[in-house]
Amino acid sequence: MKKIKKVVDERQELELYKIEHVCFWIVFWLLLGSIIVQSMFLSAPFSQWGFEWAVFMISCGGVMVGCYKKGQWDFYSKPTTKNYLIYSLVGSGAFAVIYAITTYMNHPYLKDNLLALGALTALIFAMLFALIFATLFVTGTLVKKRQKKLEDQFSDDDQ
Amino acid sequence: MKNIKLKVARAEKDISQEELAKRVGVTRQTIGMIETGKFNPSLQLCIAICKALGKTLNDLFWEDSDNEKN
Repeated sequence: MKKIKKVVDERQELELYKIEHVCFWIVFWLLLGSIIVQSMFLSAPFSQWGFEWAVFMISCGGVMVGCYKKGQWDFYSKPTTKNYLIYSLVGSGAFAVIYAITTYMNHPYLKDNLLALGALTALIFAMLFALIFATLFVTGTLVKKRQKKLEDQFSDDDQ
Repeated sequence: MKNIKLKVARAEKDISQEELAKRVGVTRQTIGMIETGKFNPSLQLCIAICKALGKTLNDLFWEDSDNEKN
């Protein structure tokens, strides 16, 4: 397939990448926010926010595949167990708080039974923590292996 | 870090930013930003600029350690 010729120089290209990068992450977080509000706060049916969820998952999948292929992890951290723990705690903690608030709002019988709400939230937190940690561990290990492979591919050792 | 050497070399050759930009295939803004230190060009572009001005990479882009903090 013939590539379309670019009419921008390297500086313009970099600036366009930066603009697209910022806009992508704004859309990403807004989409996630929209899905959370619709599904958890408004208790809307899946058919209402399912398409947004599919778009969101496609973008997540695209980022994961792209990062794996290039052996990249993150701008600000390295794939280490400590970072997996921090991200898992933050992610599952944030979701647990949202879950507790929305459950409290949407289920009147739990308003009188805060112990049950706390136990349910703790369970969700633990399950999500394990899920996020396992996902990060697996993807981090894959990325590290990929990095090693790419390093070997471009090493100066005589083949 | 401003690139005075590039500006001087361009002035010596009596070439405008617009003309240099045209020769190396970038925009005038890019040349301006390189001269004012707002953009770090790739090695490929550095070489193209050097060729256009008849200079070496050392002449235009090497900074002595004393000047690097300026």
